[in-house]
Amino acid sequence: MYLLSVFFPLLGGLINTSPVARYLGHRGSSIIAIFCMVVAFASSVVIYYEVVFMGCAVSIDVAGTWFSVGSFGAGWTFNFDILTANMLFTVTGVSMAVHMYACDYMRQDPHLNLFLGYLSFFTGFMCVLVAADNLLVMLVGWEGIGVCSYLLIGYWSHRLSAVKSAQKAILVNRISDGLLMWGVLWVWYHLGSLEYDLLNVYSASGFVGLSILIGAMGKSAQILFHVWLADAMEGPTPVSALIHAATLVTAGVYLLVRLHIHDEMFVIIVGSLTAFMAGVFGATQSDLKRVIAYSTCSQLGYMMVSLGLGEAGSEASMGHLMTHASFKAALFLAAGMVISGNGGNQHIARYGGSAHSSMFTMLTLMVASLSLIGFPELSGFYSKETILNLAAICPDPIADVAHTLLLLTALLTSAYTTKLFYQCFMVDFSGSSVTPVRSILPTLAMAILLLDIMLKVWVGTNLLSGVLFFIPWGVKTLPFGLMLAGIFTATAAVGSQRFTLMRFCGSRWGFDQLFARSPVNPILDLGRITWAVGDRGLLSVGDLRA
Amino acid sequence: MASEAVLALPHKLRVMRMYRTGLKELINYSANRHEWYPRAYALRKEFEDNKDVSDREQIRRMVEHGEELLARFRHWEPLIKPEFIGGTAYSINPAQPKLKFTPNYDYIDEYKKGDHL
Repeated sequence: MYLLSVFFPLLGGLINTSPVARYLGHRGSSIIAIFCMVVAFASSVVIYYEVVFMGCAVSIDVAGTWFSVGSFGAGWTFNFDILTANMLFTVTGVSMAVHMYACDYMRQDPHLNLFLGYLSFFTGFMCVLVAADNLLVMLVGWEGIGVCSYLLIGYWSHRLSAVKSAQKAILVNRISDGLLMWGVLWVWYHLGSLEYDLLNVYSASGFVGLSILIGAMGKSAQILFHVWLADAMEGPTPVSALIHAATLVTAGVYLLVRLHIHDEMFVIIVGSLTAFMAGVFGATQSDLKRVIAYSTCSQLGYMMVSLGLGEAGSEASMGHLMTHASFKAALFLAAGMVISGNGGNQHIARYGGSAHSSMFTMLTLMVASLSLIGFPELSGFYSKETILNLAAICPDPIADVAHTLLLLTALLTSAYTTKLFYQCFMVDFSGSSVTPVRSILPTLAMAILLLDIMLKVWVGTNLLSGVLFFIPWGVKTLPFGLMLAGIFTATAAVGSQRFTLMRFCGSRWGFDQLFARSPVNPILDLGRITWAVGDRGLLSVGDLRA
Repeated sequence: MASEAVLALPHKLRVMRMYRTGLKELINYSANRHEWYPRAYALRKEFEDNKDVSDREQIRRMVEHGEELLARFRHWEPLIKPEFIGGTAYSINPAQPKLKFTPNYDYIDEYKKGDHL
């Protein structure tokens, strides 16, 4: 039952990549792929309930001993504890959503079954990685996701730039994987075992920890190994949503959390530099998927920084990983909808006015963007604020530098995310300019959230973290201010043909129109109705002059 | 001499190509058409102002200067439609190569019966 979440995706992948799938057709392959992923997700929900709420961690020995050489033996064991349950839930949930999306997005592709098979294989290997009980099985999953990422990025194998990007991805990952494997070898040499329960990586030399860190850096696209992530956008959009947002790039963070590698200055420095650098790159790209890829890279930098801040930082990092997986996958899927709505065009300079055509896409992207920039009460807010608060209270001076860089990155993130949103939806050159939002529900939601922000700015921060973190209220509210500053900067920079600050103030902030639209006109209407229907109609029935 | 490869097109072709490439590059630099129209008009005006130059040396110098400017100001991310060469959807599902001969679909079933052998 627990193993369903690991092996059903692999089974689905096997069926869909085998010659049998040719006789199933697109419909059959979609059914099999989605069925396997639903089963896997249901199983991981059960695992989550059992392990996290009921507290029963499970260890399953699947195939006994893999090999045994002298005194060292490695076994095929899967361990389902709290960390694994969290990761499995994230991975299978996002993967199920992406499989469903891919069945529709790639419906015109002739080799859909192969695509779904690769996606399922990827999910299966990722589940093997997170459920593994020793470093060898973890490496099986690690290599598997690298290979599947290569197959998926280069899925359109007749396209030269896609093949080159796939090669770039796997070669950069290979360099970091080589260092990782060397580190694993040294762990074996120093400690005699590769089981997680028996490991304490710190008792090995510092070099071992460093090589494992570099292995994680490569997978998570940190600063020197980030070059593959932007070009990995050559793959189809569901691939970007699954791999380069939620699962593969989080494998490095998962490994570091699993091996209890925290309190490392190197990680903080690398993470903060990555976050800032990727933020700067994301603000200047003109390809939609590249901007989102760089924002992924930036958030991974956040996770790495928080890993270097101690035990609580590891938990905050896992929290950010989970929330980031969901909103980033949503962002990529919405971007896919935008791209297909624009006829395959990914250049944001030629976007505009999509809000007229699809309110749903706009709302999806808006909610995902708000979560990304840490808008209050959305998921990204809680995880991001936790990391920022932890960086603020950490006594190390390097953590102060990291805190500053992360704040700057938050400013940049909100700026380029808002700019992206405006360019995709609000800017409209077709003549009937800026999109008015006509429906009540988003306006109401935004009003509630704005009141919420004002309350928080007055109180100091989210009401819980007064219990957890005691830092000056100016430091706590700084991220809000920076987020709003980023939004205003992007609004001013993008500009609008219809809305100008001067004209807005010239029309006295629209108060006249506001009062005219809201209470005044219905009251006047009421008067008109009572006169026309009442005085002229009902009350003059007895009037003989009529 | 071999290092300086000179483009030996007729003058009219060089000027026309320079003008049309310039217009396309101006589109790459403009966020929208309304921004591009005055720039295209200005470019046309620059070409028209020098229409009546008759000194060959000066003409040669101006054309070379124009081509130099064009080479300097090529956009780093030109706007290309997705299905065209260099676009994001180029060759994602290319057409299959055709057979050397087309089978006679009307008689395939008959040939399969084997009576013609």
